[in-house]
Amino acid sequence: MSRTIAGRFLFAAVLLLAAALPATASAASKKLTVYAVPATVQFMNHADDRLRGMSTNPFNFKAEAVILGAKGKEKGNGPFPGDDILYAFKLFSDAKRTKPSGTAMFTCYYEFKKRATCDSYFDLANGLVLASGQVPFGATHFTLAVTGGTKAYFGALGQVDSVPAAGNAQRFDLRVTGTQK
Amino acid sequence: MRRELPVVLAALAAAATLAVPAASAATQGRSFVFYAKATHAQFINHADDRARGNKANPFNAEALATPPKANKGKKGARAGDNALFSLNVYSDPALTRLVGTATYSCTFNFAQEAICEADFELAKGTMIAMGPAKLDGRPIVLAVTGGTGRYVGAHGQVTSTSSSARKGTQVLHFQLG
Repeated sequence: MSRTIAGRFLFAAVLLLAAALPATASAASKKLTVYAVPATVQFMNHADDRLRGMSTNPFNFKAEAVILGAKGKEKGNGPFPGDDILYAFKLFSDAKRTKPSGTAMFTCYYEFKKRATCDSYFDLANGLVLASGQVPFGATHFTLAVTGGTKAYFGALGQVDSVPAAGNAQRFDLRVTGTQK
Repeated sequence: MRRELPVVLAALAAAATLAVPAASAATQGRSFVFYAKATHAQFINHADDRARGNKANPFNAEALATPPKANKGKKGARAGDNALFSLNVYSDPALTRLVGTATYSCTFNFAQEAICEADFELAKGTMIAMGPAKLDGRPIVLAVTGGTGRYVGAHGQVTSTSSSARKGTQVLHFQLG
């Protein structure tokens, strides 16, 4: 094989490799920061369901596994297992919160030790980003896994880092990879 | 150049083979349509839990109260209520070839919007999807977040719309990346 042919061979292979790489690679690591201000919150207190579930359930629970105190009252204000909290946020693209960029909704279902599994979606101008993960009650620093999206975030993966921001706001850093459109 | 061409083509083919990702080859770039008809529905009204939660909750006095308008609207569908739907899934619009079932589990948040988790149990695997829904007849677009069997690693979106041709039928359009 002459040097010319070898050169063409390599050039063609490189070109094709570049073209054949999955779209995930070309759109990797899109970063987006939004500032969130709480708009609405609803706490769902499932004390009656917990109490009913202790006497009527499909399991054979041991007495020490239940969370009620000896007098049948829950200790403190929870959140207790089975409670859920719904949060709605307004999103802004700037730290001064002058440029609205969408909304976010968190649905958090509490398990034990005041930890919740939260499902969230960020409704942005060019699509939805979904994220889920564990959030301890009252935590301002937490990380969620991005599990998918629609439109511009079709097939998205990645993570959302949450940190406090000025003015009772929360900053969400969305690092999105794998978008395919 | 005639003798060089097969060599270059072979190289291109080899390069392409290497570059195609091994995973998700079965579902990548697929678009398909199923048809679904509801078989069961259950609405769970958590009015008591909502009322109790407004009085007994872990927030301090600085916490935001739920704005009255957040839960206005038609009866039911208030924040925290649940709606569950079971559907049969068919491959044809005449609903003669059953290929699986689907379940939507939705929790309402505010302004009659819900977050729904959908589970599609199909003959050759399952898919799960999640996203917001109004549940008022408008199209629902959920993000497909994973699957099993034939749909392992599935990612994309599924759009559910009411069929104009057949009342009570949902058209499920899957677009997988």
